[in-house]
Amino acid sequence: MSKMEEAKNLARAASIYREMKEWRIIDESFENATPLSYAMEEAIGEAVAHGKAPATLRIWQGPQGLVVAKKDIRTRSGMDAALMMKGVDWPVYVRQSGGTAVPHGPGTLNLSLFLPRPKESAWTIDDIYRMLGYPLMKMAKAILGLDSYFGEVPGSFCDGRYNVVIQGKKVVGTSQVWKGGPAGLSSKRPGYVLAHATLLVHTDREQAVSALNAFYEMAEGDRPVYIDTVATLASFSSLQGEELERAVRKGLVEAIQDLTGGADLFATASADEIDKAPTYLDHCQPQHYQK
Amino acid sequence: MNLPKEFRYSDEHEWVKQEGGNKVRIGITDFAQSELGDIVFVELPEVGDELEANSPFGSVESVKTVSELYAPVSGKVVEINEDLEDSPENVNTAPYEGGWMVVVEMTDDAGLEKLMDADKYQAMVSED
Repeated sequence: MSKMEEAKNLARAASIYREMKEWRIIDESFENATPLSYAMEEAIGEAVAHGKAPATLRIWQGPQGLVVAKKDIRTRSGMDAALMMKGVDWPVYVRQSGGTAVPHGPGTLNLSLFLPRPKESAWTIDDIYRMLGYPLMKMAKAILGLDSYFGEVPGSFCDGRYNVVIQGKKVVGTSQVWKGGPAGLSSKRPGYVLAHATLLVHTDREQAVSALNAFYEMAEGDRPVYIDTVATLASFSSLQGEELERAVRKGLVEAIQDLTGGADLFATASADEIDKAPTYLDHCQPQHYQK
Repeated sequence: MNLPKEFRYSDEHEWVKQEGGNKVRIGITDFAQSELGDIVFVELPEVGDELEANSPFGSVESVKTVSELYAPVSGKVVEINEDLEDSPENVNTAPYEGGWMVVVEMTDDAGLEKLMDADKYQAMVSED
């Protein structure tokens, strides 16, 4: 895709941000990182689907672990691998979106985009990925002066066309799910679109890659992730650790505010969302999918 | 667009084929699979599960995204397509044959009347 085409596509993503009348940003601290952090994704999605909450961008961290799609734990060996990883302090959590395993925990940051499902097929799957990636790219440019782009990086974790890539290395993995009917097509049902990004800020790359490969070696007999394909933002920055993380959060919030034309900065999850989150907790646990 | 005339269709892009008695075979349409892209995983209910019309009963994962599947009719699952476990791409290559998903014994066949024929489904898709 030419640079001109990509610029046009990003302009369309920006226009969708402006089309939505109301936005909120939920910016959660790492102190809140528990397994409930994963269950909150469904609780927020359902609230957005039923008009109880506006379109939302959530900046958050999960506890240390691997987050996998359902297909990764569909087999007995996948379940065994999940159990084994729990024993070495890399518990496995299940997400509703697709793709392959992603490392979470200290040094990673997640950005989740929630949109109410349109009644008509107004947005494509690609539009949603660009909406998710755009604030991350703006942040990388503003905070670190780095150019980034969408692209595949074979050998990286959860590889796909909409990785955010810097200097040939993957720094962000993305995935999405459409609730309420087939993706990108019309549906009369209430539903939501959740697109999710995991950003490697200053995570221990070797440990993360080692954990990913340990899981897949037991689940599928393969070690599919190559360390040289992935990078953290810290590897491009003079800022390190928590100082870098604070700068990234600030940059993300500013990028989102710019794109949305002033999202509600001080939003938190509603009492209803917080109350409902525990009811989705079992969806995040591998044993829920054991046949 | 490939749309068998003898099937019924839901507004969630599923096809329903009557199999005799109260049994129907269900899958997603050629249009839906082409929009979703290469299918890599199909999450199906288990035999014996009860489906409720217009409620989620599984999901399909393509290389780009995951989509929820909605039951077009109510009833009990009597068969699932186990071949999709190893060959989810059948949904792309043969959506009306090898890509079928479940066989359901309907609670009653009134639900079929609410589904569209091929012409109506074609018109709905054309409007999008």
